[in-house]
Amino acid sequence: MAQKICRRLFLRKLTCLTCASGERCLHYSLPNSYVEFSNPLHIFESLELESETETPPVEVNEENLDRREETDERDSEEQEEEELASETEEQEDNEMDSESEELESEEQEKDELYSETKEQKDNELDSETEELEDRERDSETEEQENWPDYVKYACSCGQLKPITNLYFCRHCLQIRCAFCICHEVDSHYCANCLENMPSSEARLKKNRCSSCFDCPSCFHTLSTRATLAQPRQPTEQGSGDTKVENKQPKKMYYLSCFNCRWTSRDVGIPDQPVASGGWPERANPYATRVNQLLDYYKAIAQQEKQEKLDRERKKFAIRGKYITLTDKTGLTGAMARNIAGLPSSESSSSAIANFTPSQASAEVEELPEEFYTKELNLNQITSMPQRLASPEWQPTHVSRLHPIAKLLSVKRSQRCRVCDHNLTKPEYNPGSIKFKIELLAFYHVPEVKIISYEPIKPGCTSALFLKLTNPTGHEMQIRLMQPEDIPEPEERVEEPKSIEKSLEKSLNLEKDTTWYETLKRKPNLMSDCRITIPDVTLTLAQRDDAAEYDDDATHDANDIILWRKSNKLALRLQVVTSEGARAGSMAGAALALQYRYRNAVPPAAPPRDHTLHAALRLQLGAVCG
Amino acid sequence: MELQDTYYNKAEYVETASGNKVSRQTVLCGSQNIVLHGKVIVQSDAIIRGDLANVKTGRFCIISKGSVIRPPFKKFSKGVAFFPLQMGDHVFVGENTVVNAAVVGSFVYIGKNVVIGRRCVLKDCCMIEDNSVLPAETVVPSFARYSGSPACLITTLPEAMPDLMTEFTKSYYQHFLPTTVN
Repeated sequence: MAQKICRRLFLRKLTCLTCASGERCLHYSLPNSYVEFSNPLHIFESLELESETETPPVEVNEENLDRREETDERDSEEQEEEELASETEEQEDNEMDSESEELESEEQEKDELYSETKEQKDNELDSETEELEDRERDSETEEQENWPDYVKYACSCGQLKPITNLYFCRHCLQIRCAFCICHEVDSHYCANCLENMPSSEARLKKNRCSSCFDCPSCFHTLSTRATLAQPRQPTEQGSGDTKVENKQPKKMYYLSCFNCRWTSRDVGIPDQPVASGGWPERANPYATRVNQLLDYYKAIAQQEKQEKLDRERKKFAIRGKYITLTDKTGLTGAMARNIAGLPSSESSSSAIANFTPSQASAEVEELPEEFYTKELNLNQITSMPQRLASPEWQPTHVSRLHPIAKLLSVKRSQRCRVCDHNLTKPEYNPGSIKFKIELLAFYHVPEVKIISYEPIKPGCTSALFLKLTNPTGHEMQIRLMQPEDIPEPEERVEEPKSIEKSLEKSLNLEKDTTWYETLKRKPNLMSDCRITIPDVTLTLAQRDDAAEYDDDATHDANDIILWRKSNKLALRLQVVTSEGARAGSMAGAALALQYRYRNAVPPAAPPRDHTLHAALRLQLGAVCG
Repeated sequence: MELQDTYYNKAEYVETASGNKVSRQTVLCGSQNIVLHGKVIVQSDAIIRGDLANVKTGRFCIISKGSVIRPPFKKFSKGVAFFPLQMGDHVFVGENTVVNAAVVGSFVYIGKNVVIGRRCVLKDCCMIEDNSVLPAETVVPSFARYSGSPACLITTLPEAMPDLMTEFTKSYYQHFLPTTVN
């Protein structure tokens, strides 16, 4: 194959995808056979092309060629297109450099040199570090359970979690974790186009975005790409030259994945004349059956509800003296149902009557012969994740993959399960990162950070340096304690309300907190290390954003306090490790904080001070041998 | 864990009036197109391609060693065009990371050895884990944590992410100290 450049193609920007001809070739009548290149000059630098004279005459039969082949070729072309882009970019860089000072071109060289040497270094390093990394990874997986979060706080349910994952209910004055709060869906939005969707519409669209699609092959988001397509010419190929040039090329759009290069053309989805939307929706092959089942179950639920109501009415029917509402108003049962928006009993009974349960069959069709004889091309078979991504169709062949409408994301708000108050509530706008309500432990509970510590040895005392931060807008008194010294919370006496409560419970299952209470347990704070607690009360100033600019920390002459800086202070503590600590095991120390918390809700009432407690566990690395 | 002090050679870094600390061992092409909004650290061997298009960063950004900040291009029918790259406040870019994004929001953490494909949009408060590859034109929503190749949503981030990133970048800046000559 001679690498020749076809001069005539330079003037035009269209080229055939099948035979790479710039002329009107035999493939002209095929859909989407021509592709437009941004700069035809660059195609031929990377494409090996036969010149026009050397092109073998194409047979007419080629029109019936396998679609697969065509798409493959297209793929390769598109990759080249991509290469082109990077080439052009490089060229532009060079041009820019030559235009600007020479210095910059030197920089460019340096740039390249740098990248080369870096690659070499990387290669050398890679082999060396691989082993090390493997070892590290092994040890990491062991440690990962306790390791990455150095300080964990005990939630009111006994779970130990880092402070960033905890919430603080201002009404119960308790720390709550994700397990003891109620998660609610606030709004639905698409993560790609960041458009809000009302929940009713989201339910209708099965929680999928109507304009964004995921790649069925690699699950990355698909992008819309534009091509210029010549409108097809119904006349014979030989004579229509002049007509074609008069017609304006039309912009057509197709979906393409920038990650795996899958395109909607691969599976024969026709290009769209509009940029977004209009993609063909496939009907669920089992839609009728699913709807039938849905109707059936709805009808059954309706019937059961009705029966229950009837039974209750019978109970009360003994008191025959009273006039029922229906008697008084002349409402019939059907009318009441109609007003309540419930389906009439006739339709529900028909749904039950018409329902045919599916039959299990013992016989299974035998495998077709070709499964044994035909060679399998694994590249054509879809993987399990690909199949399960579209459960309605479960395509087995890659040519059956269709774009998957993108699943919606949700904004969540959190609610305390005990007192039903909101803990977090995000703003409606999907792009916003602000919250209307944000009751996080990070903003209300004093934060403890480990600055450094001496290695933990069995039977030894090591120094531990901690940093305490007051995140609230009020001055805070903190006392350090042993976790076992935390007084038991008083049981709230609410017995007189029990009748009301039980009524409420029976009416609303969600408010039933009995199961929640049973989950409560003591946090596991047992350890071999014990922190010697100094008997001092520390006063921490309120958080002041303006104070961050004075960098000078005041150094106290105190034995315990190392320095103070606005709302932070550093502590020096002693950790005593027991003799029995096993070398290599995780060293952890427990600590409790007693702090004065000023509650400013409701804003009308005067602020009240509370004495609260927080238990926490510090991870102090491995015990040294 | 509180961050430890990291020390740098005072002769290596240039400190501007607005508090930017830029290593001399960096490649800043087209420096007239690069705007660092103050208290930004650009560490050695980083490359910022201001010659392609404008590059703007907010306050308290950290551009680690060997990372490349490079405006994205888009291919049009008449060639390619480069788009400016905007970066918000309190952004951390890890070592040997390539950022081709169009927009990087505020409070964003990008790990090391990450490739952010061209024209990606990283919204405020998101995190890309180490060794991930974000394909071109991806949109990363707020409070999302992406990982893998192609990077996909792994989990969500805590609601306090803005404050966590602010604290992290500020303390990084405060602990980034010149070596004192004794």
